[in-house]
Amino acid sequence: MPEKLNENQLVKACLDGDSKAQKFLFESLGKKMMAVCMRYARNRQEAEDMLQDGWVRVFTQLHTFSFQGPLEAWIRRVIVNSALRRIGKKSYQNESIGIPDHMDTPISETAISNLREEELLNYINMLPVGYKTVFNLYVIEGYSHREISEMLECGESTSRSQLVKAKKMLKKIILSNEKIAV
Amino acid sequence: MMNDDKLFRDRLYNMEATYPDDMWNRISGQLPKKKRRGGWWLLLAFLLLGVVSGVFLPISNQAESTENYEEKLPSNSSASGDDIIVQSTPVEEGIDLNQEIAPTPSENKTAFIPGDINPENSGSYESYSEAPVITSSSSTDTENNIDVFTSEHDITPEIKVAKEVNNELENVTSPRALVSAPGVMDPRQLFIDDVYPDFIPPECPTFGFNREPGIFFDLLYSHDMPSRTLEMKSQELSDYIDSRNNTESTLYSFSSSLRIAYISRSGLGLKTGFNYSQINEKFEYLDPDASLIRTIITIDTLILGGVPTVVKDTSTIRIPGSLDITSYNRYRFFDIPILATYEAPLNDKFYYSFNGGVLINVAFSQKGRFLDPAEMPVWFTSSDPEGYDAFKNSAGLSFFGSLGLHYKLNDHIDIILEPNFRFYAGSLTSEPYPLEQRWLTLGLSHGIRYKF
Repeated sequence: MPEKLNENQLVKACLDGDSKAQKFLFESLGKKMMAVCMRYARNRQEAEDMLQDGWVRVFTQLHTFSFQGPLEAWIRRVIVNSALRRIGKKSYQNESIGIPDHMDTPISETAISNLREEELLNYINMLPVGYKTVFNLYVIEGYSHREISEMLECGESTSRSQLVKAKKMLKKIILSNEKIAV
Repeated sequence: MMNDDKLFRDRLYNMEATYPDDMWNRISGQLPKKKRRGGWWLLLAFLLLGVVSGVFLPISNQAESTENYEEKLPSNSSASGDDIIVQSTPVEEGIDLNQEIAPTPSENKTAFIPGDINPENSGSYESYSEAPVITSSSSTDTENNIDVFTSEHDITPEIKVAKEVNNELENVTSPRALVSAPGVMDPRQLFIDDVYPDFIPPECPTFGFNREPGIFFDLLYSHDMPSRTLEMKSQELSDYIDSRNNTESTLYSFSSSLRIAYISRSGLGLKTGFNYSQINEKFEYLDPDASLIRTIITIDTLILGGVPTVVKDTSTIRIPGSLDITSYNRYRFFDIPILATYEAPLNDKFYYSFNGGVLINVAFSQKGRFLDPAEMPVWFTSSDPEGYDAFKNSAGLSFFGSLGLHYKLNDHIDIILEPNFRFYAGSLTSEPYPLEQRWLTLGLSHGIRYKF
């Protein structure tokens, strides 16, 4: 039944408390959102808790959806905000890990292309929480530094510096593993 | 790094990952429910069912005993109800007042009170059918200045009581809170993958029902049907066992319990609390050769020389006849359950549970009558020091098992339907009593679970 609904009808059914429509919406996007949570979480358990909290917020805040953009993007944003709330917005700000200057060596595109998604995810999860968060928000989700600074309640410069450090560290991790693989 | 960014984004933005099977249950359990009056009507109907079945059934049993009561009166008797009839014999002037006045059947100086005259004897009755009266001893007394006829009686048959059933109703539930807990993303996996590219890390074992651990209160009422077994300890008492089985029958019984349950994330948990059980039986016995001893006091007024004189006469009579005893026996158990449980979902609204463990008896009492080894009706009431010593003070351990079906009514309350059994492993009889007595009780519990 819900398969025949368009997005507006689906949202309205969810807002009316139709459990079948809610379940359909969750099952349509649940796996994508689980992957989102796994990029922000420190472990799988935390990712599941993020997913649970996030979807509860999706349904309880669905009345604020204005139909001015794709529903998926709105849900993703709610899930990301929920994940940030769980890990704590301030948790990353004091992180300071020394990144050697000689780490500007470029990574070959094939090195990344050859990696499986799970491996990429593993590498990202090797980053400290603050680096990982900014990297995810900027690189994967596509938020600007201004948006990130509002989401994390920090300055844009902080977001930029965290991103730079995150990329350098990620390169180091990938390169070191390329060497091991060779 | 711009190209790297695009590569990462292309690879990861639409990446999918599996979530636990029960994730939707966990989410839907936290969503506000649409207000539905039907749920409360359902709960009300459910509670009403418990009240009606728990209260009405014992009452109907009691009513049955009253309907079966048959008063056995001789056709020539003038007695009825609780009245006692005393007919005075005319006494002529000059009679020796010190002479014994012995009532005889021909004088019809008899007393008869049918049925139960002991006010405690509700729930148990005896009936006597009266035969010809035999008179025995007598005495006389004289008082002056009394010019009216007076009669008194003092009849004390040995009839005791069997109380009827008190019913209690219970119920509970709670919302499912759900969490999952499988594997943890281990950073070392990176290096394991490098060394062993095909290595697939094993997932942590999980049970099907991942949920938030919690404490719940279950209130349950169970409709029970007991089944009793009697076994000889050593002697050959098969006739006695037959006599007991022929005179005793099980009735509707019940139990109620208040449990506190801790259910872990995996669905495994423990339950304990309080449990009250009552097994009801009916004892029916007919003794065709019974006799009833009664004392009669008769007061006559004589006119001697124009002066009224009161003559008081006391006599004891034995009334042979048949004795019909019906007693509603009860066995009460107060226990502490120690139960292991496992709960798992069926769908969004329903989940089931397995429960098993022991009930530790802390109090065991009995009240009623049965046939002793001499096949005479005796009282075995535990609170009566004169009662027949047939049962232990404690019922010991009994084994309990049940399969529960739970319906989530709202965020705090679940409805429970729980078929169950209880087996009393040890004999409940005392050491001197020659038989071992055990029960197996099959029941159907219903109730509610509440989560704060």
